[in-house]
Amino acid sequence: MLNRNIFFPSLVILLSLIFLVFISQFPEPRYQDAPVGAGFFPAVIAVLQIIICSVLIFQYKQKQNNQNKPKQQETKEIPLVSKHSIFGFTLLIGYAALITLVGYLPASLVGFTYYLIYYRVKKPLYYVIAWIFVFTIYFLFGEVFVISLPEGLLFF
Amino acid sequence: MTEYLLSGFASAFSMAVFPVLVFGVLGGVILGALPGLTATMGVAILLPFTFGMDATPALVMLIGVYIGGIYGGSIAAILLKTPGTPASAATVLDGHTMAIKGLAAKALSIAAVASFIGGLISTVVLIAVAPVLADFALRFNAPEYFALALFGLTIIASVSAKNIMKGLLAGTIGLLVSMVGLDPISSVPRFTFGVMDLYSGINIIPVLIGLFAIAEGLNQLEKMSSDKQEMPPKFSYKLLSFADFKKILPTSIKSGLIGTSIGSVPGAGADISAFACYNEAKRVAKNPEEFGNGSMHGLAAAESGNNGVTGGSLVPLLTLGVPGDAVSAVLLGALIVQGLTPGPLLFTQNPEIVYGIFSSMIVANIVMLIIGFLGIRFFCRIIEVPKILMIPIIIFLSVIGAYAINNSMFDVGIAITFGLLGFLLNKLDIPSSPILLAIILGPMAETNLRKSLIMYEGSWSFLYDRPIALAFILFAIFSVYSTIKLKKKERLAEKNE
Repeated sequence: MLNRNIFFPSLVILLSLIFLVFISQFPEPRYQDAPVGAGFFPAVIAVLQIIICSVLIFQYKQKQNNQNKPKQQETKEIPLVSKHSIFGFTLLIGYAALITLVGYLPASLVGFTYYLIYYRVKKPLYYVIAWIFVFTIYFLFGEVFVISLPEGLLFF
Repeated sequence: MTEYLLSGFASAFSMAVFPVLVFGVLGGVILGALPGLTATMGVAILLPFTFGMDATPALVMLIGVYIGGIYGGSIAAILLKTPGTPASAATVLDGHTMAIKGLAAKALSIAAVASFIGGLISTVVLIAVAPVLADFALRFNAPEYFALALFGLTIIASVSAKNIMKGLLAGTIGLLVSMVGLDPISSVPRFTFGVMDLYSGINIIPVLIGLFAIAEGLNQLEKMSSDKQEMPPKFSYKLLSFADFKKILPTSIKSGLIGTSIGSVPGAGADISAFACYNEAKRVAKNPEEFGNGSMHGLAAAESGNNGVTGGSLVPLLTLGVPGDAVSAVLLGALIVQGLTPGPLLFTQNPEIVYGIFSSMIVANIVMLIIGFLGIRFFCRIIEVPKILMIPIIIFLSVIGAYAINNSMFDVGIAITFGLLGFLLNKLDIPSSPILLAIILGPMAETNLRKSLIMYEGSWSFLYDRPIALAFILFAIFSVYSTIKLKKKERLAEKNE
């Protein structure tokens, strides 16, 4: 199992190295008075990231050595994502996709209702509140503040 | 001046002005409380409504929206951990923790009082020393702005929770994000990968919505127990006591003054001010370990600091015709629409308008305080909404808020991406606030550093040649040193326990 305290900083180091390759391809300053180009600041930051992540890995290793933690215990970390967070993320992406296709009102009504059904909510009041919320936002944005909400590609 | 001020007060309480002022403040509070809708957006939305109005009620209404909007942002920040505006991002740190501890009403009342104090100080300073402050701000050039941004970035260390390195890592992620788009000096596309939407850079609002609102929604969803209809957390409706008020008063006054000074510097807005004041309050606090764990002083500093900007940002606008931030840029438009030319001549040609604005700002702050207190019971109801309903409300509002900024689904994508990033960083104990701070300050630091280098033909001597820049750099060094010392102390105390 990958250790997140090693994996994440290593990933950032790798990404920073990739960024440094990209940065090296930025054009150099064309005019004489510009001492640094577009790549200067990003390059400094990428190098900083590599240093910080190396320190983080070192800190973690040192902490591990100091604590003399058994390896079995180490693997008992709380998982990064759970069933609920995966559902939440899927709902978020699904809602964004649906809103693009059918617009705010149908997407929100379907999204909110699906969410309540998924969690097996039995109180009808919750469904009513959910729909009232959706219509209130529609009214508030559309009629009061005159801010356009997504209308959906299918209805154009 | 007194005569004009008194006539300004009479005008502010007249039937033609007072109702629009109350409407403006109330509208601002509601808009500010909605994630994604900023004070700037609120002022911009209501601008067309003022076209048919007289100059004084028109400007008073917009200023009311501005003041109300900055305070309104704290409501969502405290109750939902979703800053309504970038200005209230620092409010989350202690305000939301207080709400979790059952002190939502107290947190909201502290926010209202501190905002009032900050706003009032700012207005008084605006009235008293506007020309002097404008003169000071005029001395700012690229090196001073770079030094100011550098000083701002040192705040990352203090908002880094336990591990400064993790905070710095978050800061560098934010800085890299701020580099996306066309380079500000030579217009070279950076990290755009041919995507047109990325050429103008990454908008801060979807990032903010993602890091704070969406990430929080996902966190809450995960924490939700198997009992879906669990009861909402209990809390008391107890407001801040007189003893609490006495405690937060010095912090609020100091932060109000800092906020006013920061606001008077063009380009430095309420978001920077809130973090700077929070950092300063933490630095001088007797119990700095309380910051981030529901400190009244932290909350008061952030709120007084961001409202302190409201008057400060009008200094360069009214005296020089230079907008200090995005809101004052919209207000500049409103002044022009009314046939007024902002600048020194405004004070001599239309003193009744200028002092009418000043008086109305004082009245608007009082109205904001009253609305803040009257609304607390209503606002607290938000926390009583069961989690099973609250989470999708946060998620759906976040998506709509991200879309509403530019009517762009691309911004929704940005919000979702940063939501996932914020959620994962939270799991890795990496704080999200430094990312936001770095995105705000990164472009300011880079642009002004490169301008300074061009000004000094490649020499770095501007760092010690210019007194104001040098002062900011020394502040930055001192800020980092005191934070490291403080963290060491905290660690020692933890070990001893």
